[in-house]
Amino acid sequence: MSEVRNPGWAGETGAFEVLSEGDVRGTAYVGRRPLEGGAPGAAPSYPYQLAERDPDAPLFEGPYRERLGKILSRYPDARAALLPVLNMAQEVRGHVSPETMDEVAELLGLAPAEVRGVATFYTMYNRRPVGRYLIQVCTNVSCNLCGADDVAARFLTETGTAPGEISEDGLFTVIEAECLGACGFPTAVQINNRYFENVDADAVPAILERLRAEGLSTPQEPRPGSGNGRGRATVEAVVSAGTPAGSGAPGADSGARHVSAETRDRAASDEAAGGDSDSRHVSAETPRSDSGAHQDRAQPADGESA
Amino acid sequence: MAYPYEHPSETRVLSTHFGEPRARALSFWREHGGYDALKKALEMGPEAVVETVKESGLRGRGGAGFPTGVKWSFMPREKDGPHYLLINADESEPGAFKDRELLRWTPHQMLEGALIGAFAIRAEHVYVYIRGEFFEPAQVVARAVEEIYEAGIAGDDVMGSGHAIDVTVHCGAGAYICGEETALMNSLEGRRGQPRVKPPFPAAVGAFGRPTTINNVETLCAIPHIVTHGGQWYRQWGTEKSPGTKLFNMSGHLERRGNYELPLGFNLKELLYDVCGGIPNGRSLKAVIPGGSSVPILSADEIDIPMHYEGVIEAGSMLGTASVIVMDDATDIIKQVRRIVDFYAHESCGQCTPCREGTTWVAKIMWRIEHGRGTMADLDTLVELSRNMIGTTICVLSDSAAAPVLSSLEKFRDDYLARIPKTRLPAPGPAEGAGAPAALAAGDPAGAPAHAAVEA
Repeated sequence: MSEVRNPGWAGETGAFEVLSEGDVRGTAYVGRRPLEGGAPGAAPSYPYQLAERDPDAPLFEGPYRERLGKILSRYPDARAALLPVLNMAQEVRGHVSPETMDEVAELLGLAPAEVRGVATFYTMYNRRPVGRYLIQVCTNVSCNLCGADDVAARFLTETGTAPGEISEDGLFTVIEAECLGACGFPTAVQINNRYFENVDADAVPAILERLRAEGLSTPQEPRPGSGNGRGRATVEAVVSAGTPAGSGAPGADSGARHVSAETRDRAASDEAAGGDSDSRHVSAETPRSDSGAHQDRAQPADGESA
Repeated sequence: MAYPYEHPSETRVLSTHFGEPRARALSFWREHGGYDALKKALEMGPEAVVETVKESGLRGRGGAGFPTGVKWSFMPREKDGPHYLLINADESEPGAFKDRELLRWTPHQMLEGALIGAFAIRAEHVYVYIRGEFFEPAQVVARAVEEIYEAGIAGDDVMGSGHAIDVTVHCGAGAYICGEETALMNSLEGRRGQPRVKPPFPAAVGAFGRPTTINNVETLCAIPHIVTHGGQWYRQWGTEKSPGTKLFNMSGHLERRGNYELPLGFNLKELLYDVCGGIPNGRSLKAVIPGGSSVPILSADEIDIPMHYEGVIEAGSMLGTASVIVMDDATDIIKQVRRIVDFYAHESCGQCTPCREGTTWVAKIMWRIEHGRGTMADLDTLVELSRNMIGTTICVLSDSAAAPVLSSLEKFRDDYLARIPKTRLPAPGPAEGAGAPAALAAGDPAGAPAHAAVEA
């Protein structure tokens, strides 16, 4: 076969062998991390699966509270913010416990049972803690035809775990996943934020080695808002605190467009304030320099892909 | 060129810039005519845009193939409140991986189509519903959204036209069923992704109770090209009923897997053997799923067909998302069908009894047949169960689960018969419950695959 494998496991580049892992992942061209501002429509919504997380971290404080305001400003009612808010809770805490669900319910003014019903419906909400790297191996049909079962088994033996368990070093949890939408690049494996494609069983030890190296080299990120006590936020509090959440309480103006000009101005000034935005958003035309600063720490700096 | 391989037969319209990292940037996109179509559409007016799309005959690329222009024309012309456009980027049909490529290589192509669509249906807010697993594509789209806000292409005054259109990236959290349009609306509203009964249709009562249109990523990506060149231009490819080009998602046992953009109606056999280089390792073909896991399986002698909507239906299957899954002659077809049914059992939203119970029981029966513990009566039960799963539920998930079972039973019956023991089974041992084969006790029982471990 004339396959050209990308050494970064980010897709088989085929006729495009000049592409780097960063080119395939698009890491030179990503929005700012939600906590760093960004356009309201872009920044609030997309989730992260941080490698470093703290099950007891306070939710919705500091920059996370500001991001919550941006999320709320994008929907006609507070309920619609439920999925993004649960995403955010999981980003901070690593899993969504019943207590977390209750906190989210209080925040959004929903019944706890409603939030539990939603949080248990979706597969990406971990209901118990997982390892620093959650390894999800697609074993659905397209990957299965190309040996996904062997890949999943190899991940389990190499990490010494049973499905869903956390490895002894706390680094890995391996589970089977349903179709990850990368059927042309079997076997597809999702590890936290990242897709690893064209993985065969023999590649597993090297991937784990890479993750171990990343896990050990990553410094502890200061937790935003830590030390601020555990005051619980509510929609009203967020709105009255002046965070951009539309001109009134969300839901009150469902007939009108629900992003106030104030929100946009604020976002615009956020952008202007980040004077180094040109260097942060490494233009796709320029040679890629280290753009890792604003990305999830779990993503490799560009140099690592070689 | 279609990533990761290219082929001379390809007709590149949507996939011109696949594999080209620079194409993600707005500056590049503008230099290559990006957002000129939006400007043109804003001058044409909503009615003319809808007419152009109708004239092109573009059919929705999410699987059902409903004509896009007709769908848009269902939206009320008089506004008494907000309208919404939802982009269905919840690609999770096993076999489909085209939207992910469109999202991560050409985010502006989709956003331009979305803004044109929003203008045509008088929507003021576009939600891009991206499946939660697509972190990397979502980041790329988020950056593109930032750029169009900065450039005044989205926001209060779209390209100086006075129209206001907002764009929000909204990420899901892992549920196949959210690709169904009414489930997607429920999910967007912060509910469980359970499909709604239709009518009322989304164009009357959609997201947040307002008129809503849901379009697939690939559909919207075609819109700027159609607006630029006109409806008739798009009809130079494909057939009367299936005009245009389509991304074919080729996976499974192929020499060169990947996406290929070809005119609708391209011959499936040629697609496998010429474009994708045939079956690797000197093996021969056993079966093909032509449109993603939810369509009936075709056997090796049924593949000399044109890949357009009507052609695949004539062959007894469906084009779906044109996600072609290829299986060679060493494939354990029963295992693969069981894996597909496991998937549907896991993803059933649980609303309707025929689906909730049917998928679970079909998965259990498939499991015991796969492990040599089935009976002849099981084959009849499979047929009966599957037939009761067709047309009896709110959405088509259970129909989708039944399709591979019924078609494989019909076309690969010998494979099933070979698995069924010719002698009576020994009595179950003490570790087994009644009807629970040893394999179940050994782990990974049907209906509770390993990923349930974290969710439980």
